[in-house]
Amino acid sequence: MAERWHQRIARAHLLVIIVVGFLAAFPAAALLHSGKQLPVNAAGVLQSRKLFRIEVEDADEAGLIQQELKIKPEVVRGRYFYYFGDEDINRRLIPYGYAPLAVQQDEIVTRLVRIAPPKDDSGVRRSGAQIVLRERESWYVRGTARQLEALTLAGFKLAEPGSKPMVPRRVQIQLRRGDDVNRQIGGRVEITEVRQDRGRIVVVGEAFDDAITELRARSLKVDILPDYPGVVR
Amino acid sequence: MNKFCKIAILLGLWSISASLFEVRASIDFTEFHTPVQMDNELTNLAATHSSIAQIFTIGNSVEGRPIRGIKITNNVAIDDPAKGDLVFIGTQHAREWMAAEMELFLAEYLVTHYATDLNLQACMNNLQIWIIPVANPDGYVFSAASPANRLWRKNRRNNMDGTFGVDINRNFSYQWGLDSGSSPVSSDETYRGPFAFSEPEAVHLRDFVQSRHNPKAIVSYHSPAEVVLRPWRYVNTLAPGEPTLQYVVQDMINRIAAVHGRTYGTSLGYNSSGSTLDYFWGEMRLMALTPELRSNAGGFDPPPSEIIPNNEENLPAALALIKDAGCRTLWIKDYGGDTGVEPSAVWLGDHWSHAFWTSPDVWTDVDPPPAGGTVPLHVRVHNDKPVTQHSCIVRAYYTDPRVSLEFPNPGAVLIGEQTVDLPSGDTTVDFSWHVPSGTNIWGEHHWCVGALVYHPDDKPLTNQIQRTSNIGGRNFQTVEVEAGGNLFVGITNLLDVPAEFIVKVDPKSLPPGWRVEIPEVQKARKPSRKALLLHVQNNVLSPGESFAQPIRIVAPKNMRRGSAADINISGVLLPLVPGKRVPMGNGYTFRVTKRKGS
Repeated sequence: MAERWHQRIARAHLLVIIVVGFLAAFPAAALLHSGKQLPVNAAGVLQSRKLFRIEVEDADEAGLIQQELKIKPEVVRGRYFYYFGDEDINRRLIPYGYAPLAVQQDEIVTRLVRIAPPKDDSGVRRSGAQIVLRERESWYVRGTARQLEALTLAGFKLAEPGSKPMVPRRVQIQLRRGDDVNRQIGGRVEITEVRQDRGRIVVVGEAFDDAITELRARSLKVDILPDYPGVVR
Repeated sequence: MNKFCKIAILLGLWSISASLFEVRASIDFTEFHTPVQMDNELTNLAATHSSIAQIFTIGNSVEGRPIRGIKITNNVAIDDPAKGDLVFIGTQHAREWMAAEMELFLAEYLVTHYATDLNLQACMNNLQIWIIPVANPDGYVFSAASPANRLWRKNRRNNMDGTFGVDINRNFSYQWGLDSGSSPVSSDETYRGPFAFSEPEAVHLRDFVQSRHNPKAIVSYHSPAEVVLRPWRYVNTLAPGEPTLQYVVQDMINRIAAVHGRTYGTSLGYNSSGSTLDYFWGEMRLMALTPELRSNAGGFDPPPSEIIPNNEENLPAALALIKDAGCRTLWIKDYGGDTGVEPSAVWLGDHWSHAFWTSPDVWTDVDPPPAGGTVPLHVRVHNDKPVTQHSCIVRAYYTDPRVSLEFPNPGAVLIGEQTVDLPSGDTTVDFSWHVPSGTNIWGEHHWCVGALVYHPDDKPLTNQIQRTSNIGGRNFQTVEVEAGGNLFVGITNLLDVPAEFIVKVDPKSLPPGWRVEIPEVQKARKPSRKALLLHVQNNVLSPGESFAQPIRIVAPKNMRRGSAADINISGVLLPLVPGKRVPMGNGYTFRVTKRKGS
């Protein structure tokens, strides 16, 4: 009888060890399964490699650097070609007239995170992070490692955005007749309609809150339209 | 069971399977297909019409899904370089399901009408039609996976910053990175990607089209704006070749309106940079169009009842394009022995295979035409149809000679335009040409004339003379050139990107003993980094820049005076871009005469 109890206890221990081992090995899966979101470590946003930039004329030149010198950009922004590099890579660029410059990752590396909705914008704004979308249950915020660190220090708990896609707001923007739609609106609005209405140009499109804030900061009148049918926020 | 019963059962089974086949042969368009159904329907179409249809894959998406399509032509297993290639793509934007439905409908129409519509069959036999219903399979699958995902637009790239997706139609390299209609912010709907061609969906499409031997056009269906778009998309200016682009677009709009009365527009009122259209027109002068399909106020989630009328109204425009690309009926010769084959000449690395700027179908009564005079100019158009083609538009232009010439181009002067009925056979259309009294920009009495013929059933799909039989070109040399003197060959970069130029004399056109000297002209300016990266030395022109390359042709000393030779000079522009650098060019012929001592 006692031997049977020993066997049962041993089996139970084994089961506990397997379960604990599974949870230890797959904390992400366990957290997701429990409905919680993974916490985001602001410092983890940065990579250990060194970031450099060079000046290029356009996308074609960036493509030629990839093709001919086998150097892949991390991002091409404006006239800058950013890449994670080292002395060896830099040496390959110099004969072509490039002058690699080491830069802080904050210059290009940002991350989107989710936070519980605060009472107002002020805490997020103080950190310098951008509010990308305010939803009822969470806010989506984008920031550099430094900005996310500031958010954490301010008491915000950062989480991964999750698998549900963010849906932009439908917006209507009014421009004066004769305004250049592209110059006024830029590229951050997915425009779905442009029409003339009583001497004005009315642009309908989709945009997130950070783009809407940018447009309003340029004194443009931006109205939020009802969502497409079926959108649940 | 007796023998009679067995036969009856077999007949019964055969009739059931035959009726099932009938059902399979007609695709149901009363509902949007799921991604699995879309895939299965495409596979079934190819399987049930295997002699003319075959599944192909251009590569895998960012999540590893194959980007599949159906190739339709006779002898489908052979990749035939003699045939034209016509490419249709759909659903680059995930939520635009109507585009995939249109592509599937077109594919079904083509395979089911091939045997019975002999006119269509003839055009299809001259083409390889490549239909890719879903150019963004990851996004499409995602948008169909849950109602919450329905409005997903981009692909499913993990941007590694908490966001997903790149807008594939902003990821092409031509003018990539401008803030006109594309965003550098990864969460935005119009995110153009971290760099041009960062997305495999864009790379595979580029590589596939550039690998085609004889591409004619690419049509990229989107929705739901009900417009037909043409290049340029990145800027509000007209693209080179605009009259041709505009004619093709207006014809599509007319055909769409003729079905259910819906008049599609021609503009969205805003720009978008890094688009598929601009890339293929900009770098290849390949007819690139985007019909934005209908939604009937349903936005990106139209009711399924719109699918059939949408497909019905867009089909005739697609079929017309197949005719334009596959069935030549109206044409102008490019050189003496031209039979109307497209292309009429190919670049052989150092010269064009045929002097396609010597059309015998374009001539003046007085040759060379006198400077400052007015001369009758004639254009002969061949109509291969047994019937008259009505309301054909014939245009003639003249321009300064350049080995980089296109017709039409922004610098060409319209000599005249006539709307004529063209009976079967040959018709000569007459113009009156006021020949310039001065010299061209190179200081010569030398002009190029281009003639174009347009008809709704046969339109040019490019402005490159050698690639369409609807355009013919002819050099007119108003004074002779003396051997031993300096000639100047003009080149203008009509592209929006810097380009290397190559100017060569066709060795076949050089009589024995004659010599050519083409001095390399050292340009004072420092070579650009693009040129250095491509190991291109000197011969680079910025967009819009012109250059006169001096050439000296020397006759043999023992040649008697008055001897003459027609010397063909070929040229191309090779854009300084990554990937395949498609040569675009032209040429001209000088009559060089030996005078005293030359």
